Amino acid sequence: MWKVVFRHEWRRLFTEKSAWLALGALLALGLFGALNGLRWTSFQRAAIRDFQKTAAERLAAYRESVLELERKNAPDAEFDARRPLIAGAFRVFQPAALPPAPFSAFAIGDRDLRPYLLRVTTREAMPQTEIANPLNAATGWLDIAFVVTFLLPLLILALSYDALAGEREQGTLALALSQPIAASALLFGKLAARAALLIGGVWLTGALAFALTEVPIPEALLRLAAWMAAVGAYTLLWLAVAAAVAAQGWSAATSAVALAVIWLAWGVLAPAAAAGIADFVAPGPPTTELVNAERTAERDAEARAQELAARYLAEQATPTPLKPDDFSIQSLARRAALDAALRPLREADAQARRRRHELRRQLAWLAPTLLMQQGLDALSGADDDRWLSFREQVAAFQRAWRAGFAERALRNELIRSDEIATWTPFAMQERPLGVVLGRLGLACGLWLGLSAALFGLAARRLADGAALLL
Amino acid sequence: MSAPMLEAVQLTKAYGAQVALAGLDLQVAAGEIVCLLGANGAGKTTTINLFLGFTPPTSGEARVNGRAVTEHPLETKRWLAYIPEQVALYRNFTGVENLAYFSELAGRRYAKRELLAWLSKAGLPDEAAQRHVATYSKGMRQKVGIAIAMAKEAKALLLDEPTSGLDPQAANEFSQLLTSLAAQGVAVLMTTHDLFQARQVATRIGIMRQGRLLTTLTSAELGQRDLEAVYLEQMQN
Amino acid sequence: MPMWLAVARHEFQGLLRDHRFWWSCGAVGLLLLAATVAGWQQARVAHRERAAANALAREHWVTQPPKNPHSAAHYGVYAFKPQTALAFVDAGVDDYAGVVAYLEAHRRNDLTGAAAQDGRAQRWLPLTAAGLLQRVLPLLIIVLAFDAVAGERESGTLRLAASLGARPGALIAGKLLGIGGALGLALLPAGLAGGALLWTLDGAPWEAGRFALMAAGYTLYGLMFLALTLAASARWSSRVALLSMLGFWAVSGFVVPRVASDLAARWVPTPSRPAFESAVARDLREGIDGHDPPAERLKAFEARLLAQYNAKRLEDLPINPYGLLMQESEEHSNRVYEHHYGRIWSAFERQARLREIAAVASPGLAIGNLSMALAGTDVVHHIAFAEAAEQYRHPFIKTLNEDWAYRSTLATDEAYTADAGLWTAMPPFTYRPPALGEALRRQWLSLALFGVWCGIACAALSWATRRLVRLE
Repeated sequence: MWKVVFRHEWRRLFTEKSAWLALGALLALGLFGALNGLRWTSFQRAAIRDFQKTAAERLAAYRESVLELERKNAPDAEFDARRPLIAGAFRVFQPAALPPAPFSAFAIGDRDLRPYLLRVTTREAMPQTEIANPLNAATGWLDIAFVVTFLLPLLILALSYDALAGEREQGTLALALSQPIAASALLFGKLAARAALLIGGVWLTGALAFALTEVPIPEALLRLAAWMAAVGAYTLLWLAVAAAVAAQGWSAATSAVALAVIWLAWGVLAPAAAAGIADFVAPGPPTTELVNAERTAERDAEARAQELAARYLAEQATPTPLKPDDFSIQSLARRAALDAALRPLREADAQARRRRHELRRQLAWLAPTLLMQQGLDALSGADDDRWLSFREQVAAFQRAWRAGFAERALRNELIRSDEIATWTPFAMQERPLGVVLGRLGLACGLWLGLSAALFGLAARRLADGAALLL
Repeated sequence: MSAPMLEAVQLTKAYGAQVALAGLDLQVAAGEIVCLLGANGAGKTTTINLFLGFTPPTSGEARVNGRAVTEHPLETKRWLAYIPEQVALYRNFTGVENLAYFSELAGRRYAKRELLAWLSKAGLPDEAAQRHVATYSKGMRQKVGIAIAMAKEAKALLLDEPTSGLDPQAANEFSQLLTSLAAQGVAVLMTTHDLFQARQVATRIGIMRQGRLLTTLTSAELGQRDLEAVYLEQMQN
Repeated sequence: MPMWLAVARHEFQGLLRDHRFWWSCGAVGLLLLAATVAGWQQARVAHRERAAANALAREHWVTQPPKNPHSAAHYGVYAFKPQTALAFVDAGVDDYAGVVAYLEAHRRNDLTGAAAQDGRAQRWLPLTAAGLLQRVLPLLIIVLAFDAVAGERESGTLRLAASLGARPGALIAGKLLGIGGALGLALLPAGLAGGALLWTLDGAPWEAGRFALMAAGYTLYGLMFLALTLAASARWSSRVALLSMLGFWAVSGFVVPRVASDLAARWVPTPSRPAFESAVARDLREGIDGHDPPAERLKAFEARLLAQYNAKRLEDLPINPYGLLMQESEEHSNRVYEHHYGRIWSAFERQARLREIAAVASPGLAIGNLSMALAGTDVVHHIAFAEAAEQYRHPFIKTLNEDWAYRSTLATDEAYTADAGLWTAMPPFTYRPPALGEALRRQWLSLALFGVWCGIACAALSWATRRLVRLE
């Protein structure tokens, strides 16, 4: 029976132009979003290329100077370029980059905010922050994820707010319900037509955007399939919300108001509040404190340079031919002292960052837009999880990088021109896609369950009949 | 005599303290046309809604063809057809398309030719039947309503003030359609304020006041008495 | 009682009896109050932290041990962007802009320490008073007013009122006043709290005028939205009025700003960090666009120096030529940085201009831009701080280099140190944000477009009022 309603409703949506409007809006916004995502991805790729090129040039120049010294058979000196510490701290750097993932054009996420280039030296892993206009950054971008997460629900609600109320107000509901059809079947038939239209529209948009922006490698295609599944479940959830409201028997205007409030409160305010809560619960040490603590530690190290060098040498297992007042030793000792002094604050900072992130992930289960955004960002590799993992991998890489150079600096084993090419650069270890898909699958399960519950609620309310006509 | 097509047994509906319908007992047999008269709020529309299952009764029972409406909501609707005061249709669809949709909802699928035949039986010419409903007069929409009832071959017809707002000629046409349907064995229950029409078509007339059916008169009992006088007399008691 | 006042009173009383009014206004009023108080709390903490950080940075500077002045220039000094008091009402771009300037020799550093880099920001909706007033208040207005006229028409009371001789103008004016008054009442606690809390923050007297302007701006914004809603309600059925206003709200509040930033980034691109850095490095090496390469210039400068002191060798100079040579190359790098940052700032300003133009399609953008300017949290203020820090850096480094040059010679170079006398003689960094007039002058387009929107709302309302007569 609902199929009759479905067919009729489908035709009605098209004769009343609302279907064309919805499809047009979806396609226009979706493709604009795809181009914006692509713009960011291309921008990032170019930036990474430039960064790596600079690093390679630095490395080549350094190799030249080492070769020159080797050719001249120059004796070792305190500031010799071949000294490991001089090389690692001043002459060369490793470009650590978080490359755009496959499917990245579908979500910009916080990629524009989070540093994705780090300049790794033996001193530190220095984030290369983008020169972005903070006004644009504060506003955010219109990517496909935004269209799907925020605008799609609006479209769904706009198309279905009057599913029953509209018919009641124009009078056709009484006539329809005097036929042997249950009110719930009527409502579901109507919503099924909208579901088909909207899901079909989003899938079409997604497919076109994919063709426009992505390379159809298996991994990207798999992500597209997951994207489509998630979008389908998400659409059903918002349709179920519309159904629950429709079953209340309110006027079309009241239903529209109720849905607008739900969208704003559940879809926009809730994620904003979740972020606010996370920041409030785990603020971490303020930037100002981090900066000044570093200064204080530096001054302290400067004042106690001799003492620190002596203590450092005493702590090392590796014997060194260098004198305690040698720049390399002073520098190593200073760095070790700074690290020790700053460790508690830095750890508190990193912990707070983790905690904020975890809180947001947990709170996301309460706000579908937040969960959807996180899921879509993760599919496109623009999520915080991947970024945090990148930061941690770079930190580990930097520690290993520094340890290697420090070891050699102690032994004063000079850098040779022939070994430079063998240094292994940083490479991001990607998490398995299953982790992302698992969470997304769980989210889809939650949404489907929630949809079923809401549809059930609507059906029960409608079977009651009382709210239907009076 | 077979079981009545429409039957109300101590049918009661209350909204909180306010009683809309109090213990209505009424039977409408096949071929009968029963008109319910009464002031606004007398319980006429509530009666119709109860037969349609649009609202559950507080107590008592409404039966269609011997089946209780509350227990068999869909089955009873198979035998019912309903024509509201304003037959509202999908404005961007033609009369034929509207009829096709509602018939399908009733579980019947017709070819276009058959649909046109139903509409023309209800008095709507083919040309008009293929226009968008937005251009229809009220009378034309009533005819589509009748066509829906005929196409689903309803055994009982519920009409809620169907002729209010119709011009005399349209009302007359409508009355004739009703009479001919009743002649084919359809039970008709109609609420109206139109005493003239009630007199013209009804086989029985019920007068309601404040949720109670005060009296029913067959057309024979009414005889030559003035219906208006009877009505006003009942209202004053 | 004049007719419009009677209508206003009737409307006001009607709203007070409507439980929808209490719920929705209560929710928005409380949200606003909570955002104001939470924002104030955060602003106070941030203000205190940054003031303390600036004091500590200064202390680090003046208490540094005696050292070569140029080493001190390398040691450098930190400058922290002071938090403006009204940032608690409108945080603007604050979370997305750096707050720490590291000022050192040879290099101009970008501001760092933006909260957003660390995931301490969200872009759904700023949970500040400004964010709520810009995006949530319109929804409240729409909900309360969409059927103010259409509902009366649909229930027939409009005909009745008109038949009794009510003038449409008085009817509409009364409704505007009645609903506006009821809304104002609901939002008043948050406004008063904001004013009172502002008084506890530093710099309050200076900010009070800005706060008053902000309050006036948001009142106008609310009235403008109310007028638009009433015009729609007077013109169309309640359902069409509601849907069109909801559509306008969603598109203008949530879609247009993002479209504007995407188009801005597309049409006025800025370089990536690596591209920027290598362009700067190239110009430092070869002179701006290859003109005036520094190596040759330094050689010429050396020659001039020798001629000036009538000396043959650098060693014979009565001063330390390194200091002056350093300063000479400093001047060069200053020019290079000025050139490149000038480009960036001009791109930012053009991007901001695009967003101002986008206010054509979104009144919320117009008031948003004005509000940020009043709070001192817009891009103009961000650039102003970055430039102020840079303007402090130039003489700061120059003083150190010249001290080095004129108080030592090549012979005494190794041994020469400056001490606390020099450190304390250098003025501390102070920053005053642009004056109110300047801040508003930069936002003239937003101001104009906000005016246009108010005009449109008035025109729409008067047009719909006139139509109301004809329809009846």
